[in-house]
Amino acid sequence: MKSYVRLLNHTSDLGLKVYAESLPELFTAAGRALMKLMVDLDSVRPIEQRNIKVRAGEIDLLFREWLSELLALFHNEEFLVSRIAKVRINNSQISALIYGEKFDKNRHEIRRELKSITYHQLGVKFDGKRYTGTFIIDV
Amino acid sequence: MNAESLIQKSGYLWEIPQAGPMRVPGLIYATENLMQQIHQDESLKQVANVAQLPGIVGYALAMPDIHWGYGFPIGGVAAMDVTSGVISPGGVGYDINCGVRLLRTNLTVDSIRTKIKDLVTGIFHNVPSGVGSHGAIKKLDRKDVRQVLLKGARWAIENGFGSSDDLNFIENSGILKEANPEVISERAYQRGAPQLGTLGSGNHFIEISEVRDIFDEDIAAQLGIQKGNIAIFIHTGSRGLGYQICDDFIKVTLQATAKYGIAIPDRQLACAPIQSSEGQDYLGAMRAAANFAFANRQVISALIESSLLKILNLSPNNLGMRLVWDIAHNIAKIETHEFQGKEYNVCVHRKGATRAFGPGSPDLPTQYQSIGQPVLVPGDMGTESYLCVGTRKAMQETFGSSCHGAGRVLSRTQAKKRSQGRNLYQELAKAGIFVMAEGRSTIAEEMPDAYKNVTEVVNTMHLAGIIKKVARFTPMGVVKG
Repeated sequence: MKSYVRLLNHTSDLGLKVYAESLPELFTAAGRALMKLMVDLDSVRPIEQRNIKVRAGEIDLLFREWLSELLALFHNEEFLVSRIAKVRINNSQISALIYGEKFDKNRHEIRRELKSITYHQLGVKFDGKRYTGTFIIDV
Repeated sequence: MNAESLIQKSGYLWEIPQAGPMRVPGLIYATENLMQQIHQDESLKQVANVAQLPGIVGYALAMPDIHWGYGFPIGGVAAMDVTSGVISPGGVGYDINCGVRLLRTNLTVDSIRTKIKDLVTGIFHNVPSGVGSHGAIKKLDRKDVRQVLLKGARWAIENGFGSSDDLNFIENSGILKEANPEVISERAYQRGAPQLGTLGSGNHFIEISEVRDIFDEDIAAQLGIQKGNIAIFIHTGSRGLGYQICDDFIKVTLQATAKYGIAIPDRQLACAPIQSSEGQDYLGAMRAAANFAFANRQVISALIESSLLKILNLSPNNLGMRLVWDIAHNIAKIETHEFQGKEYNVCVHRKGATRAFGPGSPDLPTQYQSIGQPVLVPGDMGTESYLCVGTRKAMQETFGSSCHGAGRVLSRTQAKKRSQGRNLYQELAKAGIFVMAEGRSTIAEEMPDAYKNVTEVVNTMHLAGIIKKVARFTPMGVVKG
């Protein structure tokens, strides 16, 4: 997959800039990068699967809702995501199949608390060649 | 925001002149040295952005610990006229009523020097910390959580955590009235239920400190603070419940911003007129989260006290642990202030800023009427923390507000880079500080180099006459989340 992630130098929180050639790749890479900030993905077995569907009025907000949903799985169900597949985006909706497992204190070391995905500098842009997604997480 | 447009008003005060869509000027408390650091990130632009919000009175204020946040700068204060102004969840932050409490004890440095590891270890095991930490007390059901949201610290006391005297020494007596648990989502309830009495992670901490210097003997004596004694700082907030409420209400206020035709320069500044149903709902939800945080710090205090009693085999009287003050530094409050000769009813947003009411304020307990409200300014885990009091000048200039901490100067990634190849635990141990942390990243990201010099921050506000220094503390043992 031709995507990559860059950490932003935000003073108090953590920011990410994600680059990809398509929207599904962008959303997948951003989701994985978000999870990697929290846990070593190699330690999370993809043994349970879930379908995720999220809607929002515009692409920036959809990007944030998607990332928030991945975070909410951990906050509300202690579910860690390690693999994202079948990402489909159309008409302000994203659906995806995600794999992971329940948090297990003995096998998973949580690197840091991610409180929420903020709206500050949030955005998805397309320059004709590639997509860039930017978001800042309150930590 | 460029450096050229800043006007230096004095050695510790700067103005961003009102321009473009700004409704008021910005005013920043900082020394020249701190201002050089402030220029390195986007916080001044954020001050100018806050100055654009409807109903803002006087100035968009910033304290010397200001740094780049999301939407509002951290270290920002904005007072909005209650009739014509707005309330912004981003102006309070995700960790609603994140705050600090200070406990004094009869313990002396010499009596615990050899036991510090035991004490830190005991507290570390007794107060759950780390991401999603839970299990400090029995898991609350929905009805219990509702009671916590309505009663704040009083709920904790009614359930055996501390004594009712403690309520005198908590901002707003540990309970914000007119909290509204009915407007809070099920997700927020779910996240809050297992987390009461837990520290969390990131910059949250419990610190065992030595009272190192006294700057004002009379006030220190009235606060029960003695040189050479041990005091305890607790820094935490409303945990997942607060984060969820902020998240939920930014969505609500984003819609309200469009509905009421409010122009905002950053989506994170989403807001609603204070008098609108959206504004009132957020106020009710935020107050409920604030009450959860007051209860959280009250429960943690009791857990710490029981750890100390057990490990040191002391009676409560001999330990002499008493609450000096509990302060909120992420909050919005409806207050009455006189500003430039006119009385205003305002909603004061304090985002990474504390209340700092001066002597004679009716909101202070009788014991503190003559000295002013204690202001707690913790530094990073390797240096020092301060106890100060608010002044009458704070009431005239800053809507009774002051700085809340050292303020970050390095990003988390920069801090991590700088920590590479270093054993921070050993460095801190060499400085006489024993640290235990749950998360591996925490120590690196929260390293002392990542913060401004707290002494310079406090001295700025002291010289500006907004607060008065009372005592300085140095850490001996730290529990980090």
